[in-house]
Amino acid sequence: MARIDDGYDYLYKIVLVGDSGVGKSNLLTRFTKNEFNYDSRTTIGVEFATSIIKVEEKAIKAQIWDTAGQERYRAITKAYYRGAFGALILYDISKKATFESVERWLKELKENSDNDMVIMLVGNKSDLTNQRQVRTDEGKAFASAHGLNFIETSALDASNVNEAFTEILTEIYNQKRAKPVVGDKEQAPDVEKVQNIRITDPAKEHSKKKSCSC
Amino acid sequence: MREKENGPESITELIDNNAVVDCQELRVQVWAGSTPENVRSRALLWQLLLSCLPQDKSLWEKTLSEWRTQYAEIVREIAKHPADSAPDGDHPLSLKQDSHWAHFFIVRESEKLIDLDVKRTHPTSSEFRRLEGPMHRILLAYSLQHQEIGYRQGMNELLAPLIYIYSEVPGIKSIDAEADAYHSLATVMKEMSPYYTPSLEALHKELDLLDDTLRLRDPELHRHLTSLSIRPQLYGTRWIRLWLTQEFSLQQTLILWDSILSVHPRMPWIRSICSSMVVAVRDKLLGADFNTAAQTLLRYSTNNVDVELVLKLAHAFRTGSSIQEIMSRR
Repeated sequence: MARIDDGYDYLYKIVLVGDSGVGKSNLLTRFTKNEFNYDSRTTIGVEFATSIIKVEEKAIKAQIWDTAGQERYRAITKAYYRGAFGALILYDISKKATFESVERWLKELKENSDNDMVIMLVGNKSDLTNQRQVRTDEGKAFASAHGLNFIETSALDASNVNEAFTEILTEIYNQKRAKPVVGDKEQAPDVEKVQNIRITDPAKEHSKKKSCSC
Repeated sequence: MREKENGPESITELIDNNAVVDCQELRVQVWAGSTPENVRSRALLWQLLLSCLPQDKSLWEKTLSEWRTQYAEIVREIAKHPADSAPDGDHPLSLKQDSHWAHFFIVRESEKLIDLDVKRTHPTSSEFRRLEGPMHRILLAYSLQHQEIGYRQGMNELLAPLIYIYSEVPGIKSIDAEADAYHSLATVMKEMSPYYTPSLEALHKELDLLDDTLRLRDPELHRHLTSLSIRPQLYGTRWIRLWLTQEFSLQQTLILWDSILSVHPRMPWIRSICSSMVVAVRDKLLGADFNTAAQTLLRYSTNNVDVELVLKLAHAFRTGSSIQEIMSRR
């Protein structure tokens, strides 16, 4: 199939959630730019980045949304879950409390997303072996008890980062491949949902969708 | 704008040469483009504009000493361990509202987040590494004195320019700079707390108004962004909550803050500035796809837009000059 540089067959939206400081922003930049930033600032609101990977000769464009971690801001990030096909719940293997929050993040995701969302549990900062507070088998056990995929990563030394995203994107692809690409414009329906952060008025939202340029 | 008889007076002269500082005149000068000549003048200018310092200079000493004492008292309270201060009958598992122990654990929770964010405030600046202790104490003190708000991420960014300027004043004791910064932060938060509440109502209203402002100013650009579903709701949260501290370098932010602090009412002015920021990168945005346009706005600092241009555009909007005029004069 002939493609331009930025061409892709499928566009999947993924969200990153987890407590503040677990390394969401760095996991994202490691995957999309192969960079690690020791000096990252607190994420306020949202950010996103994209990357294209190949799954079975198909180009999958991942649009990955990075959200603020503070609990009190959850109300603002809720809307970003909508339209997401996948989510990574991150915790820091060197901070037990961030693992204990995973259950709340999972609940939050399930309450605000489509049922068939693919969710992966990610124990980040696996390079901090001497400070480990959450054993690998604890993460694994939680994941299997809740039907989640599981992986440990290190955004710092890059281990398993590509693997994590490839795994979740492949699983989404397998789940969704019946559905064709929606168009060549990136503000296609799923992204449109991303933008409708303030969904308080269903009537208004309906009319917004109708007037969408796609 | 008022015409001056003998040319513009400097901010420093306006503050130093009068027993009662004319704040209205200070505002006029900042509006006309004056910037404080040195860090001391900027610290005084900001505290005057925030009404943290009275206009009558004979009252300064008393005012300063009062709140510095008050701050020292707050810090002493925080440092107390419940094992030493809790009354009989209070214990670590107490569920009582006024339990020293319960309070102690709430503090510990906020502290973790504050600690994380203080380290992530201007992370490449060595000055800010020296300010981590004071910032930590100020944010903790604020969250305890204002428990209905507590500590919210982003408050560290609002504190940063204040503590940075106040602690650079020649001859000031670091504990005094800390107390002054606490007081100014509390004053800023009086205005900003509605934008930090979980309800998001005030924030969304503000973002809607920003959208209206942009539509009015640059219909073509607004149409394009709207067709991509890029609205202020996407990129404006951080801009408004942080008074643009993450969108410009620290030095540029200081100039922007001179202006933000000098205009009342403040929110419409911040809105003018925000819409001007979008207009300043219109060439990049027009014709761009969703990805490029969204990233241009979400990572605004990478555009290296000069804050002077943004302020010129914002002024032009207020006075009704055209965008083209300002952009072509560059």
